[in-house]
Amino acid sequence: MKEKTKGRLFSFRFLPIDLSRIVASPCQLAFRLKKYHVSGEPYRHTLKGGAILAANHLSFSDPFLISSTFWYRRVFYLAAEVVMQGKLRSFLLRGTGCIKIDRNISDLEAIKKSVALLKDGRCLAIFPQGTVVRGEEEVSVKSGAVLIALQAGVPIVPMYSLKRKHWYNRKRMVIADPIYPSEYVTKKIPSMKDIAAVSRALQEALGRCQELCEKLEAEL
Amino acid sequence: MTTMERLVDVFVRVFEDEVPADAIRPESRLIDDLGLNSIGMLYMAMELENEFGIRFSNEDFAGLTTVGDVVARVEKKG
Repeated sequence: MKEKTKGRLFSFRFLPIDLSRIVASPCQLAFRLKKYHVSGEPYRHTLKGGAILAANHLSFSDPFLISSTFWYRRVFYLAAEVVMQGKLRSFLLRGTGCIKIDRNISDLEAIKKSVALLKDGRCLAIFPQGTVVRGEEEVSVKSGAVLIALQAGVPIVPMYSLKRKHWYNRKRMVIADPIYPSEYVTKKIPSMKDIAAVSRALQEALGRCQELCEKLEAEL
Repeated sequence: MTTMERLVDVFVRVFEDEVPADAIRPESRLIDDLGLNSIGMLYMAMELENEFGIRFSNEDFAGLTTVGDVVARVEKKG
């Protein structure tokens, strides 16, 4: 049953998500998104199978930007408890593919739901800095995304965007090569040191994406 | 093997030399004495689930302060 929805742009099983994708499609026009590989070349890869999309978090429009970047995939989101407050908002966000994670506790159930989703071959977007970072301050990535990726056996795709100088500029998204956490695991069962090593690799990849993104914006 | 011995095994596997095996005693506090952070706690719970074939809920997980608490919770679940 689950397999039948894969590769389809529209499915009744994911009706609310697919409807929200249609409703949000004008975002493509608003962003006029240009995708770059971290090498500076245009990004031409196609995302297949389960993957974690790890992006920086500038504003509440970021989920639309990520969904626009991978418009051909159904993207699920790990959303903080503050975003899911209120019954109506929580209902709508759940319907559109958000998994609530409570940052005040060790939310084991949210982690397990995320792992199950990824094992099913879905895409899950996570903001690994754990919060909206609007200023210049450097916020290190948390290890939650890495733990989920290791448990699900999926790659992490680092991606970075910056605020546009003017509303009419094109939005730029820089995407790095996927990080395969299993390549960092030294033993049969990953240790916390392995998790820390993958987190560092993710931080570095996001840093490289940020450098290119700033360079591209400066050239405007 | 007792539950405590199996739990020490899991801790050593997950935390390696960050948490020495001789420091893991029933009265050891997970955060204050063993230095576990939130990710460490989550990972420990997931590995315990695999080791003992049990399922933790958030409610089970809340209120675990010491290694003894974890042993008691695992024995109750198992």
